[in-house]
Amino acid sequence: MVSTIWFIALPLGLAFILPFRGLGHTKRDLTIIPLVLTIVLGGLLFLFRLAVTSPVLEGFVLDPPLGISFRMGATEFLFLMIVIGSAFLIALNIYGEKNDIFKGYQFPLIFSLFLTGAIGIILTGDLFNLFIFWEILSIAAYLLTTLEGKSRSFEGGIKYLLTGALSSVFILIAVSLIYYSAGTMDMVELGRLIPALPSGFKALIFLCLFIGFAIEAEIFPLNLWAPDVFEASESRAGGLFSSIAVKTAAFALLRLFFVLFGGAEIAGYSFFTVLLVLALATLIIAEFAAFHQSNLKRMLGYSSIGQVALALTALSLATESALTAGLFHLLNHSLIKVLLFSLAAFFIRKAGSESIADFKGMGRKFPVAGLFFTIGALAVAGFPPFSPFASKMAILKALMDGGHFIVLTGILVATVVEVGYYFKVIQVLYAPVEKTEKEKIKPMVLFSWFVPAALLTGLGIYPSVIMKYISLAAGALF
Amino acid sequence: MIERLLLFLLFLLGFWGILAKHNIIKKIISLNLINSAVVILFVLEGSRIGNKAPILEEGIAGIVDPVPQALMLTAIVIGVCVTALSLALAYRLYKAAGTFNIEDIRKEVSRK
Repeated sequence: MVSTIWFIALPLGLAFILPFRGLGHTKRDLTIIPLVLTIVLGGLLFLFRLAVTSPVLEGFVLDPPLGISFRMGATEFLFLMIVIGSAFLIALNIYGEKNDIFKGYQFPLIFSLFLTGAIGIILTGDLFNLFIFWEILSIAAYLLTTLEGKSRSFEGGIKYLLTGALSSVFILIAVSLIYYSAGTMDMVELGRLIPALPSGFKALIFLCLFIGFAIEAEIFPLNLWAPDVFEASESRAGGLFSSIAVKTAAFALLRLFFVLFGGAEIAGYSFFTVLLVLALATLIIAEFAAFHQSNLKRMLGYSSIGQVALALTALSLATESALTAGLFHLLNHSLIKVLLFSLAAFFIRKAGSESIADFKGMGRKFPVAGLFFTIGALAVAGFPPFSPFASKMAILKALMDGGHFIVLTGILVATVVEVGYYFKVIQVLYAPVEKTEKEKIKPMVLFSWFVPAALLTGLGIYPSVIMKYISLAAGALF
Repeated sequence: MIERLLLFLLFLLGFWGILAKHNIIKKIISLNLINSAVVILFVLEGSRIGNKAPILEEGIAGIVDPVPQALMLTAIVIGVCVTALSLALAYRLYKAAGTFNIEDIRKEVSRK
């Protein structure tokens, strides 16, 4: 019997059995477990491909609105594709590389919990359930930060924990306010009840939920923790935050805007304007901050904040074409950051340093890695023929149609800055150095770089392959 | 009304502690204060309609709303987990830097 519950039961069950004796007390390399898990989940997602056109709604124990329900429609399908796909590529990279810090049962356990949280947030139709999955995701993310075991990672971890715990307190306050005003936790039901509440109360609920989710979605001024966490954690963990945790938070924000607050008309235009202004401010500040970074991971972290803010700018326009463009950009950004963070891990290990200046000539020593980094950098800066070019153009077009010319100018300025700092890195990578003997790169690692790069190129040339799903996902939100 | 005000003060106290205190342990205590404020608020509001145990038998009226209590039990468990994890991290930082002061830890970590 194929049920949506397997998406939760498999990773959660795995996380539960992993620490037991026999598996737990080994220093064996168990990184194949996350890889197999993501492949199985991918196969499971394939079985649900029909949900894109006919959404699946499953209630457990009691039918909704009383019991907990999972919903799988076009939007959920798209986000699950992003989450499971990125998780697969990162797991493949980690499995291929055989690094000491991923040995033992800890990494597979944290990875499974991380996936449980992300998938649960996307699937659940119950607000309190969302809070619980939010906590699972956050706790796994704190642990991922500390995976390297250096004192710097523990400092980053505790900083992340204190901010994350504040974010969940705000979500909990909102949940309690909602329960006492509406008497239910079912999100579809709440979508009917919340618009009828008094506007002051509605604004309070909105503010609490927004603060809670925006901390994790790295929206200015709530994103001060993010660059430090990206710097403190291993590059692949940074890739997981950037391509999964932030995307899940963006999904939760979408839920908040479109399902809970009943879409554009009922919620009032002002909520969306707030998001538009904040997202634009985040984009510009993050890109300028990225320009001044000398640490590669920190630079990628700022770049990640900026790119997600760009997608949120489009989402906050709340028209169907802008939503399509924004969702497409979120998908592209996941591919880019999976690629760039995996490459950053490689370069950092080879150079023994995180400072961009120390990567001198790495592109000449490792031509394949250099080529993939160049592809990633060109893609993120929005050069054709890569797919972010298509999504950025669609966002700009949506802004033009809406008459938001100031926002448009802001995005163009941010893009110029972005091109600037990525070219700075490429320049360093290809700086002339004396030739040393070339080192072989493991085929698995190579494959994990090749897939996102090929997808970025392929989707740039034939965007219609994926656009069908994305426009359905955007349409399902209305 | 006075209870709500007190809980709001408790919340503010915790919030101030997280932002202003430099000692990690005090920050963790503040986090617990915030969490408790929200939990107590939730349970308090649930007992407004009645405060008898929710056993559905003849002649028992004015029972408490059981949903908030079940939910808050979960929230308390999550709070304990987060506290345990943060104390473990604080311990590792103390072993590395010899202090609980977050500023000193930052200096110590960046010096290494």
